Amino acid sequence: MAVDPLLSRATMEEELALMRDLAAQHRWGVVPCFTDLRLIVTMYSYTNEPYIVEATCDDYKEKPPLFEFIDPFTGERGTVKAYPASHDSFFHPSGPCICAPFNRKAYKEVVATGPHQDWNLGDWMSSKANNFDWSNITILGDMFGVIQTRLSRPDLYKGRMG
Amino acid sequence: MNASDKNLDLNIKTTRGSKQFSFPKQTKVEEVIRQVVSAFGFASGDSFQLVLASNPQEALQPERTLVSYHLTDGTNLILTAIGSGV
Repeated sequence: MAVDPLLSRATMEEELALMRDLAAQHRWGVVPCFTDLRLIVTMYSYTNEPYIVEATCDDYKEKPPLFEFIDPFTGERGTVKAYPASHDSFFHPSGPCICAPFNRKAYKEVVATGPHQDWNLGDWMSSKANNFDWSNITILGDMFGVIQTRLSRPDLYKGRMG
Repeated sequence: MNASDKNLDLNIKTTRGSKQFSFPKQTKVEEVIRQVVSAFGFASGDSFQLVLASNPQEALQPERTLVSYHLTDGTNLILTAIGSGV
C-alpha cells in the first residue's frame, strides 16, 4: 500500500532536522524538494571531489529511498563518473548503485540492474545482509553519514568509479 | 584535583543528532562508542567508530584512552559507520 506523501514528507522533515549538525560539519549542501519527495545533497571526498547524491523518498519508509548520483560536471544521472568507488562493493558497478538494503536501486525487483534479487524490500530496516546490522542505517542522516564516511576515509575511498 | 579535572567534556555528533558527554580522561574509546551508541538508540555492535571532527580521515583506535589523544574540553567528535559492501 502506498504511503501518504504527507507522511513521507513529515518523516523527511523530522530526519533532516536530526542531521543538521552533521551536515554543517561536513559542508553538505542539502536541498529538499518536498513537493516530489526528493532530497539532493552535495558532498565532498577527502580529496575535495564533489558528489551530488539524490534520495527519492516516495513511499518512505514503507520502502527505502532510491539513491542516485548525479555527475556534478555534466548533470548526467547514474553514470560511473557520477559515482565514487570504494574498497568493496558498497558502490557497485551494476547500475551503478549503492549496494545496501537502504537503497531501493539495489533491489532487482525494483530496478533490473539491481544486484540483489535475494533481498526483500519490506525487510530493509531489519536486514542483516553480509552480517551487518542495517537497522543502524535507517534514517536519512544514517544513510548520508555512511556515504560521507566512505568519501572521507583514504582507506575506503578510491576516487571516481569511472 | 576535582572531578572536572578528571573528566573531559566532549561534543559528539551523530547521524541522529548531537550531544555533550562527560567522560573520565582514562576512558577507552570503545567505551565512549558504547555509551554514545546507546544514548542515540543505535543497535549495539562493533560497526561504529569515532573520528575527530578536525580529522575525519582517521578513526580513533578503540583500545586507546581519550587522554592518549590529548583531547581537550569541547573537542568535537563524530560517530561514524561504514556499513558493508554487499
